[in-house]
Amino acid sequence: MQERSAFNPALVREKLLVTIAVAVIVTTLFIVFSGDDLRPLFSNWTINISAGTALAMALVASLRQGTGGLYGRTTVAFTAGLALWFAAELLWTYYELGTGIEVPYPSPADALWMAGYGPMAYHLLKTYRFFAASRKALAATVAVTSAFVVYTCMVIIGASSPGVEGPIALVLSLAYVVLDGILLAPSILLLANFRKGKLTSTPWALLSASLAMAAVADAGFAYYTAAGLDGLIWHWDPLYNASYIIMAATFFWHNRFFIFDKSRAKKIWQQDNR
Amino acid sequence: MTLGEPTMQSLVWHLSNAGVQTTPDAFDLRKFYEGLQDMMGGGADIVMDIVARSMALELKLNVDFDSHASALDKVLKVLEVAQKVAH
Repeated sequence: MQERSAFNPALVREKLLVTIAVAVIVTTLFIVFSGDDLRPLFSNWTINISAGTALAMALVASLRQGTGGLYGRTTVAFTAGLALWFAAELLWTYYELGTGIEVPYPSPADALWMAGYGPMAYHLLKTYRFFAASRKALAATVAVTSAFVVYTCMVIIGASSPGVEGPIALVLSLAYVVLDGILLAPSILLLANFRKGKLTSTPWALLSASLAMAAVADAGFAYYTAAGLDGLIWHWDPLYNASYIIMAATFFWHNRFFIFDKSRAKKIWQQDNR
Repeated sequence: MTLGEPTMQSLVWHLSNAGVQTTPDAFDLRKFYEGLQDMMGGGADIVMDIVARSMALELKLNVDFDSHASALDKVLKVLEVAQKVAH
């Protein structure tokens, strides 16, 4: 009975949402109440652990899924993107805690983050192309996402004070916002297409929420950097952290429901036929 | 392109648990489509559309697909043409 309930989408979703909520609340409290001296340490390692967990879940899914078919290729691509983002997080931590100097912006970590968008976009656009939603939905989503991206970019440019941030840093900040929009649009379209499916609604809702949180955090980071509010940039760390936690949950779901587990299926069959 | 073997096996297992038979003698296309919709929402239409086109290609059938027809109707149309050809 216990084995069968492990494959009940409604039960698993409920447990997963509770786990996400607890993990996000606990880690946010760590970051917020760690104090100015300890916050860089707590913040960096909390995010690293969350990103590492997401990468571990994605790696397990990739290894179990193999490279065949749509899900094989797209899962490997997303895992590669997550690996680049995880490496970027570790490099950022090295700069902030290891070298003890102010993290340069742009830094080599930004190159890794930027590179990570490529395989992640492949995952989303390839899946979108396969399960193409209607043209009306595509037009509406592209219009809304573009409006969000343009508005955010205008706000960031408006907030930039002369001498606070160089032109390359400003362009990089805007590039993050645009790339987030490119990831978010197909994710929302796929969610719209899969929203009624017992197995498909949860992972696409989770992935969309995760990408939306990363997008908001990137926009906030860009705004604070442009406005010279460098000392308050940690305000966005809980969102980055939550984004990785939710991404880990997405891959947990993928592992549970989209990859056949022969030994578990056998156990359930044996229990049912006892 | 397919979804991938582990995903396909998983979907078939979940459909089977939901009471959808996938053995040739007990297979009911409408029940299969309903089950797939329950699992995948709108994604079921894409899968059925691919099934219809793959069947037409594999069986070398000349089927005129109505672009406004539902994915289920497309598969039924392929089966109808296949039966006509067999007779």
